[in-house]
Amino acid sequence: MRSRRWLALLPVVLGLGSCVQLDWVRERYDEPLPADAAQRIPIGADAAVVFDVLGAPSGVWELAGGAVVLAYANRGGVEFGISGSLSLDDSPVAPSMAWGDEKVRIPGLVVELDPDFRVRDVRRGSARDAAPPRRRPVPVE
Amino acid sequence: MPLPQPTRRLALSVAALALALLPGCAIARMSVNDPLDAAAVRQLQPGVSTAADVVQVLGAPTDVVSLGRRSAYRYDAEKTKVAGLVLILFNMAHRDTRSDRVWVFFDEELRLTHVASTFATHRTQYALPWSDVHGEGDAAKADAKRKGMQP
Repeated sequence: MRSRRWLALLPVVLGLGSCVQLDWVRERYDEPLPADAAQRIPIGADAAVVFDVLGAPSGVWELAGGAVVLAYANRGGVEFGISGSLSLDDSPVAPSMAWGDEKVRIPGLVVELDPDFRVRDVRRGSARDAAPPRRRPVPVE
Repeated sequence: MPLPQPTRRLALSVAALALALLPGCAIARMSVNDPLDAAAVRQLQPGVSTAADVVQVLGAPTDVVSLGRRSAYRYDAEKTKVAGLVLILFNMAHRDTRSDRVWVFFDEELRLTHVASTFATHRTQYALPWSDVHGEGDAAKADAKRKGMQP
């Protein structure tokens, strides 16, 4: 009797797929940075030390005065989401909703080099907070 | 000896469930550029090689960046592996992307001063969403298989 009740529910569950969707995605983009990376890069060291410890940066750009930024970042985490939509006959409105819980982290490490390619600052944090803004160092005439 | 009735029913249910889920399994692989040649990158010698040598060995860069008196070329490749289960109502996936990346830095006379390299496209893995695939053992095993990664 109970199994028949479950069978009766099956078309409802299958039908839900047309308007409700649950997504669970684990994502990893590039490898995590070593935990002690910032400690292994002394201020005043040559850029070669940075490359030995961290490898190739994700981004490189110039700051005013010939200084250079090396930005390292990677991304990893889990996204969980639910979305639903409903089409109503003769209605100009098609209600839909989506909710997502994104626990994706983008940790970053930024190394600033002086014009002689020596380390002058190392910062760790989320990629967006740690990186100084990109801007054209020389005004365009 | 035949299986008892409840065991047989359970085995059949598990088999039916596995069969029903099978069409929802999906894998995909995507790449951007060919993997970089680690042995070729090792040929480049700071203080000796020039921008022309670099281009001869690695080809055209993906990006060229001006850094005041200096300049830098970027080379990269990317590989993504996705494994998932698509059941329409419930979908789950694991997406793993790793990169090969090389930055070469030149002085104002376009002589090579520094090389920064990371080779990881070969470490990309198919995995289930609940597993984390960044074990050091996995990386070492993959490195041993890739040509040019051994010192």
